[in-house]
Amino acid sequence: MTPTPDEEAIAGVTKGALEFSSERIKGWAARLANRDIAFIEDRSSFDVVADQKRNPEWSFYKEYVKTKELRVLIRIGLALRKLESGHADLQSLRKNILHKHGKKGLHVAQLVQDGDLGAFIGTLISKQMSKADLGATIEDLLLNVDKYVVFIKSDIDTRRVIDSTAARINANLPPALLICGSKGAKGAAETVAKGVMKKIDGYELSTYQDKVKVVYLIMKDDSPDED
Amino acid sequence: MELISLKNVPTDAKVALLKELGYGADSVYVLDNHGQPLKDKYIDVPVRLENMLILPGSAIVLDDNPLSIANYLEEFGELP
Repeated sequence: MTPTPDEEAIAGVTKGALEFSSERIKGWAARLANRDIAFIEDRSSFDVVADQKRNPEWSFYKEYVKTKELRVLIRIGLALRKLESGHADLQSLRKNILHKHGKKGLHVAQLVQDGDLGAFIGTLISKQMSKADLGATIEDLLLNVDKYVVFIKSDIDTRRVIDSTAARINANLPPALLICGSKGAKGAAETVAKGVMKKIDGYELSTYQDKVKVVYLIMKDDSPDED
Repeated sequence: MELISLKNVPTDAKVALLKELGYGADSVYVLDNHGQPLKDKYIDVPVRLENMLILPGSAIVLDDNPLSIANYLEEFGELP
């Protein structure tokens, strides 16, 4: 059957579009190989992670933290901070972190998101530590986040947490331990921090707090003994 | 580097691009070279056509989520 002029026109347009697409797609593939192009879904959700390269906080962490998994979790923590609460991506991101990195990974990201890690580092810097010691202390804390960071909830049994935290410090002698509490748990965090200090020696306590949260930093006292 | 949003690319063009890169696709998922749903190398979920990233570095196809993006940037470096 001979095609009608309309059918010929449609076939011509379709063929033209296909040829264009095919040519263009080959061009895209070549540009991908040259690292000249990337395909994303949504610009804003891509940028929330990619743009961290311009964040001075990320530059600092990148310099001091060498473990790749920790660096990923730190970057994600900074991204979590940027995502508005209630953002649809927030829940699924937490779910993915939990699936891939477990509770420990979620805690690392949370420490960064809440600014607790920043507060801890501020204290370390004020102690004029060497760059190597600073990096080692940060990595040690993050690698042992489940042992050396205590997230306090408002309904905890403070006496039990004081005993278990003090026992952990006395057994492992970590360079630092953080006690974090936010909103209704700030009072419980204070009770725990002060209770722990009564049961350990050789550590000093410092505090960082804002309207929402409090972070108690229990750190080895490296100052020389007074005669 | 040019970033192209796949939201503006029709499905048949996405499929053609995937084929050009050695992948396949069914109506929902990206397929690997054995015809199986391709799993995101960082979070182990099958990559859907409507939520994928194609990034440089042997044409890496990933699920579009922040954790995979962060892992990719750590492994392959920042995009210029």
